[in-house]
Amino acid sequence: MKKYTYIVSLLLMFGLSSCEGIFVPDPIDPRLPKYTEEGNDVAGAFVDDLFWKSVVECHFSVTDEPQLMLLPQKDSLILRFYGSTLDKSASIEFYLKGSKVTQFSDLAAWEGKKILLNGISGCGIYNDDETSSVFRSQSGQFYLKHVDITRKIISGTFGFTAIDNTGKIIKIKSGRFDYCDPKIRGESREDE
Amino acid sequence: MKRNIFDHRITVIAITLICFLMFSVRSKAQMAFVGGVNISDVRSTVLLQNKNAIASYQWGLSFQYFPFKRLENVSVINEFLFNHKGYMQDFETDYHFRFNYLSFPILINYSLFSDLSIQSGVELSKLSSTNVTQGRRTYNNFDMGLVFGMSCYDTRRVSFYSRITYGITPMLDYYRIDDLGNFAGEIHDLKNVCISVGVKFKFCHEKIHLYR
Repeated sequence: MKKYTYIVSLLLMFGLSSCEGIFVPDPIDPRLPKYTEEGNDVAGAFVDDLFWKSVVECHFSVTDEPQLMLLPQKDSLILRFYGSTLDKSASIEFYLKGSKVTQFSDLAAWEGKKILLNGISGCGIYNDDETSSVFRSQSGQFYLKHVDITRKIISGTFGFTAIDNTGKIIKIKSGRFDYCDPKIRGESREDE
Repeated sequence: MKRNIFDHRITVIAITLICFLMFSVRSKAQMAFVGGVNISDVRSTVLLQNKNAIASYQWGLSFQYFPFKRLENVSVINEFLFNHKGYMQDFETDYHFRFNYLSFPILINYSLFSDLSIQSGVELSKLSSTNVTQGRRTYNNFDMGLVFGMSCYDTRRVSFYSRITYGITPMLDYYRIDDLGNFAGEIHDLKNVCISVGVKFKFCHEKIHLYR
């Protein structure tokens, strides 16, 4: 009997454990996370009238923690924010041309920079995994406002207008993020 | 965010003042329990979408003094209140913003008739807790408001009061962020507005005179 209780407890622990970051509601629009520089592991933005959030549903065997993946390239950096819109998986990516990043401290060079998402100096992409639609930015910006090397925190904002291959246009508005110790993939990905 | 360094000093001064008034008078005092309901909201210059007032409550202790021999109609009211304020925003789901304040109203009371008085003064408040995650980092811990009110049956053991508290200090210091993510200055906004109606029950009905 004790054995079954132990197994059930373990299952409940995995099933009910929260994978969310610390969502501090924005004091002006509480649907968005407040802009913070605390490493709350949270991001949010409006996708037209819908809300994209960094929280992904948790499952018994899968740990979809709010995460930001940094994918260093030879002369650029990719930031991939995993999340969902209307509880359906959707990610937001940024391709930022500039100095090479191989470790977190290299991000200091990007602090305070606003990168235009015009396809030349940078590009923003909204991936709707449900419909497999890919929206590429036409205009907008990515602002890496804060980099804390010691605590490994990056915070910033973004907003862009994007279009998919059918000509459908969406607006990503009031985006903000605040992550602690984002995952950095070591190897360079030439295929991206 | 820049914080007001005088917040704590003002709170300490207020507490000290109230304690001084409390202990400098005779033990038999005109003290009362007070309790009532609040209709609470905030004023803002920024657009808070779908904002609504909420119903809340207040309760605490009230002390009334008569400092002027020749002006029996004039008295001072100090209160120590647990004051629940806030507002809500109604989107797909309701977002409630609830703030628990420890409030110290300092009011000048003037008796128009034996059973009708008017009051005015200031209310100093300290944010003690909130339902908002990391709310004490988001919202200012000190709040101040102007108070205007009236009460009836003040000469009886049970009396009634109503008042409006009009916040004059901002609850929020935050950034103004546009759709693209540009930081376009700072916001010092959201001011409490609270209408209260309540009952005062005097457990020490004797008048406190601060003169001989």
